Amino acid sequence: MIHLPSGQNKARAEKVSLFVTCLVDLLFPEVGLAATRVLERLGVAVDFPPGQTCCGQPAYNSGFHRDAARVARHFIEVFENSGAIVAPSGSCACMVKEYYPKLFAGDPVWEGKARALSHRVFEFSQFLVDRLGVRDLGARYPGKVAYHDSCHLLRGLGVREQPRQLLRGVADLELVTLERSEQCCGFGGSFAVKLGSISEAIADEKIAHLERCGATTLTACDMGCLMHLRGRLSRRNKSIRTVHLAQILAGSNGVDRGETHG
Amino acid sequence: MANRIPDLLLRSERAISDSQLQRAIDFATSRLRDHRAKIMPRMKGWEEMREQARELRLHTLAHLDEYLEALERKVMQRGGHVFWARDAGEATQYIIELASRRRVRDLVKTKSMVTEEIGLNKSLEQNGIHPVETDLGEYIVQLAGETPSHLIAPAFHKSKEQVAEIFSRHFGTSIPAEVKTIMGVARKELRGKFLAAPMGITGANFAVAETGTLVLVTNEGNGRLTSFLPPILVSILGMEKVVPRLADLELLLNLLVPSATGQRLTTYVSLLSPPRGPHETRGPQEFHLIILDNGRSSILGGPFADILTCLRCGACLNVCPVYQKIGGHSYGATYTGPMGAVLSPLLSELKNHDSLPHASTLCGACAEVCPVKIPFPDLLIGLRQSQVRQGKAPFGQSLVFSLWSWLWSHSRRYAFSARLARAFWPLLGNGRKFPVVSGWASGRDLPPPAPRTFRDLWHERNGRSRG
Repeated sequence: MIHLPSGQNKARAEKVSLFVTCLVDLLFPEVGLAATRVLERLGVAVDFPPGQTCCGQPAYNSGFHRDAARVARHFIEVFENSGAIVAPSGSCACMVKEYYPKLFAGDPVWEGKARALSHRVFEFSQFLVDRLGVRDLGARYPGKVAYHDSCHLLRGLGVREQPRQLLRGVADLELVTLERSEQCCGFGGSFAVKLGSISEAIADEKIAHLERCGATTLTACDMGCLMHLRGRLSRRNKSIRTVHLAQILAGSNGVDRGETHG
Repeated sequence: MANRIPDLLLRSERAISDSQLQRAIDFATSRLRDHRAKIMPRMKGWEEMREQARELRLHTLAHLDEYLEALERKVMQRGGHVFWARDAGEATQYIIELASRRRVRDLVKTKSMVTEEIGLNKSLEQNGIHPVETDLGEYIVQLAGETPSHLIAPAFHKSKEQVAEIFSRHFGTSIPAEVKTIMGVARKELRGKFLAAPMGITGANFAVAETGTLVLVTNEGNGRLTSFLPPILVSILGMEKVVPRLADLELLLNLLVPSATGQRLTTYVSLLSPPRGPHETRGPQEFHLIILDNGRSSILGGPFADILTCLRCGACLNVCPVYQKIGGHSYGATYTGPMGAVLSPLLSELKNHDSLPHASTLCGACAEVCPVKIPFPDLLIGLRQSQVRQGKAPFGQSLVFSLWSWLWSHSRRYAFSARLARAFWPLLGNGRKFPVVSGWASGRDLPPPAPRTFRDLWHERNGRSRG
């Protein structure tokens, strides 16, 4: 019997617009392809609104709210007529969902639009588990995998168990417990550039925890954190791999076919 | 000591490379975190309590004038003196004048952040008055000539060997690096000071408007001795620390103590109503309450007023990834960690602390543990925003964000910028020479732009029908 991922019937009727995020679009397209493959395999119709750019979070977090609003208005226009919007990033999903209403608070036109959009935004793992009811995607990934809770996903969107549930459904994958998995990795967007050496010291602590749990792969739902940790790991010549959750879920033979950077 | 970003970074890097300090911070913060985590399952209705406390604190701030006046009346009815200090200078001047009038040379003090904030000890010393700190940690910090590095554990950055060295130097005799011995020496020395001091100075964790009661929360009992033995008592209250009713203390203490130390209650919670009444035979004969503003009233009613609800428990410090790496002193301010990154730039300290709101990854761990639910990430972002509005952001940064938002609020311009970045990447030394990311590339490898963007791959795969 062919193993059909659970929740597939529910997914047949779903249509989503993928907000791939600027980071994935420009630096890690393989993550976007993996997310698309996972969704399509479930029978979800995936659409990529081509006008999309960025959610505006870098400017928002740095206090440049006029610039953030300029980019956010563009985002809203691009996705205004979409149904569910799925992003392979807790951070960017949180920006749209939680911070757009704050950014446009008091604006007669845009606050309403931001609030309307807010209800339709999902982070990738949240969409799979909460909306589609999927746990097992029939994926295979041999190895010891540690999961890092990214801050906006965990504390902004309240997503803690969903990625772990999905990882437990992956064949040959041993989910190891990462000590203080909920502690920030030190990325923090512009923080990582402005206060680089503090950011690196925080990353080093995460790496120490990773090494203690014996993981060979680190996964998370945010390429910001993973880019930062990957950059630090490779600078320190560590062999731990970093992959986005979507890449693990997309792989069916233990090889992550989409990965190009390593 | 300047406090621009490069200064902050320099101090931080020094702290990060100090392995003794790193071990000490790790030990102290993880202990405090563990203690808090251990008691949390026993704190039934914690979330409701936090919500109630937040409302209570915001209500108090909204009626601060009324509650402070009520407090003043109560204290004066009992024969106490009340002085409203607009700033640090007024507060210290009042104490110095009082001490001179009463010919006070030596006095005892409890650990108090508000006295650190106004630089009291230094001002006293400059006027020939010698304060002795009576909290063990604060005493160590005082003997070392330093400032506290944590709201509730002021000397955690010192190892017992370092403390033994400081004590040996101070007492002119060799003191072994044993905690018990060190404590014994301090106790013996401080007992004498308590008994001899003509004046005691305390801060106040709370002051109750309804009854004029002062509340001191300690684990060492030094608060009790300082406020009870000397004939003159001076207490300094940050004006936001007033509480409407005596009954409100239950809620606030139930939140403060578990958040701070993970205890159900501290060893000593002292409720004081000085001065000594006509039929009382003990306690201070003279009492002065100083209500300190020092910039607080300018925060009231503004977008950052939430920070005035802070109970000074220190829980946000213990979970902050930045604090855990750089420790307290790197902040270069009295108040450190997330609460300090918000409060320090807002208070009228002489220094400019505009770098501190940037010393955060905005991870939100602070807001999660805060007993009064202060929305730290929002406040930190708000402070960054107000810097931008006031034109304080670096010109280059403003330019980059203007250009960026112009490019990225339009899909063709966005695609153009992506092509541009890819084309110029090798010329930029693979990112290392690119000004915006050079802070990144010094310690982390930067991924190159993908040869083809996701949208290129998507169009290739799905055709250009909608593009």
